[in-house]
Amino acid sequence: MTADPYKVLGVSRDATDDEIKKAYRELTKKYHPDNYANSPLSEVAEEKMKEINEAYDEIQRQRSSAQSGGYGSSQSSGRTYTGEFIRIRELINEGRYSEAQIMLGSVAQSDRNAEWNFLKGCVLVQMGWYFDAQKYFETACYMDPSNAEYRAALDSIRNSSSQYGRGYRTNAGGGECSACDMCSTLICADCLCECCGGDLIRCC
Amino acid sequence: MFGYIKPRTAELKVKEHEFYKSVYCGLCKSMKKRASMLRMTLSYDFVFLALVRMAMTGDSCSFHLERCVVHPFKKRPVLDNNQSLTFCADASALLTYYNVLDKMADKGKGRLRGYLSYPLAKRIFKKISPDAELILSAEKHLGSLSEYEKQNGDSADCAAEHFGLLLSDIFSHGLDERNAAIAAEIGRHIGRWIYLIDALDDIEDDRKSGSYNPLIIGGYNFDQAVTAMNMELIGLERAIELISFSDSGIENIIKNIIYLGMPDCAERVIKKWRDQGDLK
Repeated sequence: MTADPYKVLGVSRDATDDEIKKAYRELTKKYHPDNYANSPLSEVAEEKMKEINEAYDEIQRQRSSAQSGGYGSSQSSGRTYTGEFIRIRELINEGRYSEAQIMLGSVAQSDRNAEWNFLKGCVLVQMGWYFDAQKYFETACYMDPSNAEYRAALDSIRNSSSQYGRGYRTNAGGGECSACDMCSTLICADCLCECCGGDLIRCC
Repeated sequence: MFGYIKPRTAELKVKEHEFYKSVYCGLCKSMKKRASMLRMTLSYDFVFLALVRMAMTGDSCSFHLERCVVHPFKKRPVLDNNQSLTFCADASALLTYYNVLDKMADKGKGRLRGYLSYPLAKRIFKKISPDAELILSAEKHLGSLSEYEKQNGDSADCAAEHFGLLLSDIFSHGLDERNAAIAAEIGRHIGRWIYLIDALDDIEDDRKSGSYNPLIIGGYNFDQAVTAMNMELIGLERAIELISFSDSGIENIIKNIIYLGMPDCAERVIKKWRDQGDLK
């Protein structure tokens, strides 16, 4: 068969499996032999049906081989980019940030989803580039508001930054003694002296 | 040079404030010795560098009383010249020279001032003849920064990193391994913080004159700016805590600068900009 199977079914190459199934069902309904039983066009319809079946089988074959040759688990969309992101996560966990950066950079613009933005933010945090990291985390949260992991990453930066300088005391550090300390110490010393029969401060 | 690295003097002890001023005066005297006109570049930022260097090298601190042109009536305590002060004087000459070069390439109102200052800056630079390593570092990092600006880079972090790396080299120059690592981190965070706050401060002027400003190109909001600058200060704090201070006076002044002075400066800039409306 020389025709493009996607064209035969009237779907785009990016169509999901569900979309392809739907298109196939509609076409089979249309060109089903029962519809053309007493028609002079039954053979033509039969040929069309054959074409549609072959196209559907071809797409199934192509997609299942891509799936098994890919990085393992993939979602129903059949794409392999989720596998790439698993690899990037591994690199980040291993501390191999420059490699993670390179892999992130090679992802196509159209595939840069919430997870991509989150992983980009993680790498930037390691470099200490908090301005950009925030931007990417915020984008990830915006694209996927329900994801707790992305929200936690953004909050973690904000919480850390708001804690700055809380521990610093503007008055003197410990170990200093004020006039009050001195007086009370001397009075105590004087009392103790008097208990033992002496007198440190005559007027007290 | 920029004037953002200052203490909150109200929270300094009197003796610490006196000490701080004596370092400032000492730096002035040191600059006079190296190249008379270099005193025009005197700034508080380099006093911070001097304090950090002295804390790390354990340079001796002795004082003498002296009058000067600016304070002709009463003699004031001045820190005697030491290695740290000499180093800061040279660093000031280096950064001023490159700052002037940068201004000359600028589009804004600083351009004319740049051209006027150039002959003097060049003469001072030649007389001081800074260390080759530092010149290389300045050429490399400021060159990269200039390239990034020409390409209208939109990441303030990326631009700030170049300046941070330059200050990192300056802060750590000539120190032993352990101190150099700490000083490099301090310099990097100081450099990044200065770059970010300067970009924030100049945002309106740059918008009017069409000068490069990564915050205008990349577009950031007020919360992100505050958070990012605080994160630099946190990194700075971590580095400073690793210094083994032998002098509590220097320690207190440095901590006052990073915990009070620098956040005060940031607050002032952000307030001014917040009053004018959000960035975007």
